[in-house]
Amino acid sequence: MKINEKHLVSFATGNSPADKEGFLSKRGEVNKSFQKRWFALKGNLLFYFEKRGDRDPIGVIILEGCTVELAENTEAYTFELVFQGAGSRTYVLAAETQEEMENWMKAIACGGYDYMKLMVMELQKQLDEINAARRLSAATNVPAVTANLLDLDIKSQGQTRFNPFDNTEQKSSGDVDAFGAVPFNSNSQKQCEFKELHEKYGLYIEQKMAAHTSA
Amino acid sequence: MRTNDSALKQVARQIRVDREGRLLYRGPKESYRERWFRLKGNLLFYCRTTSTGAMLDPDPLGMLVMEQCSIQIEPYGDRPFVFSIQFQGESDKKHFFSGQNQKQCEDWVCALRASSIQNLKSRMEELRSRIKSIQGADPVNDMIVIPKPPNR
Repeated sequence: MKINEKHLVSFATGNSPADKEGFLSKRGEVNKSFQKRWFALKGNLLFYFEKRGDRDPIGVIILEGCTVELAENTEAYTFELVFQGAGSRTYVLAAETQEEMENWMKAIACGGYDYMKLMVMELQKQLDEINAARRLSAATNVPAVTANLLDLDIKSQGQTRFNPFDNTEQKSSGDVDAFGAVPFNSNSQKQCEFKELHEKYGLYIEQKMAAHTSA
Repeated sequence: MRTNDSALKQVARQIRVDREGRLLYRGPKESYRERWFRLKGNLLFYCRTTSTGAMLDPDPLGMLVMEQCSIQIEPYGDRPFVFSIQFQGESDKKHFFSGQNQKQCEDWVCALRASSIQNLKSRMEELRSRIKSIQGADPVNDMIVIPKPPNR
């Protein structure tokens, strides 16, 4: 399979800092003895060099679809990177101390793409919940509670049902999304001149686009 | 440089990927050839197509790692609906992709730009600091997310 190797090598040795670096012993595929190598983890790419300071890595292990497991054999501080599929190599790596082994296992597990994606989704969800609570708090003058939105539901009898999507006052400190922009509120009852609308929402759209293209 | 090829082929063969579709592809110093592209995470695989344009063989011909690269729409390209990828460390060498319509082209550009782990990391940091500035506490400290092994 063709891989743009030159780019990978440049990524390995480039200015971007490694998430973790250090010596590990790697067991050979054919020759079952362990060889000490310098490893550098960048995201989900685990590069290894013959020695520290080498310009070009001798190999890369792309950490997609693998599990990190403790090794069953008798070698101390050994762990494995297990890949799926017939003929896929299991990489056996050994650290020098228990702590180093645990640190590497954790770094590799957290370097995976799916894990990072999960974190982003989780944080986005948290931010959405915070914003929803703030919206409610702004409208009902109840202190914002992020935990259970149901707690803020109609506890006071006799009041008409509150619709959180009615925004009679649009405060500037309202919903703030991850780009720091104020979202368009289609429920606004105000009659605006086109010029006003253009200025207000044009900036928001511009910011979104700038964020999009710089991503 | 050695890579874990056979493991990567397994990734490429997965049923569910983030995005896939047919594009004409021209690597540096090559001519356009029709390929089936599959994006999984920050890995862009490409495979051969049949005469009717479907994916011929899930075993990929090649893979591009989507880190440290810049993706541009090429409005003055040699074909309509073209975008390019340029990788850092390979200046003056661009990879060109030609789609079937404007929307497909733009959708791919958006997906590819968002695909790098670098992008995920900066989004994470942005969300983290946003939440911290509102709530005062670092949300990551409270999150106990135990990485689960992928489904076998």
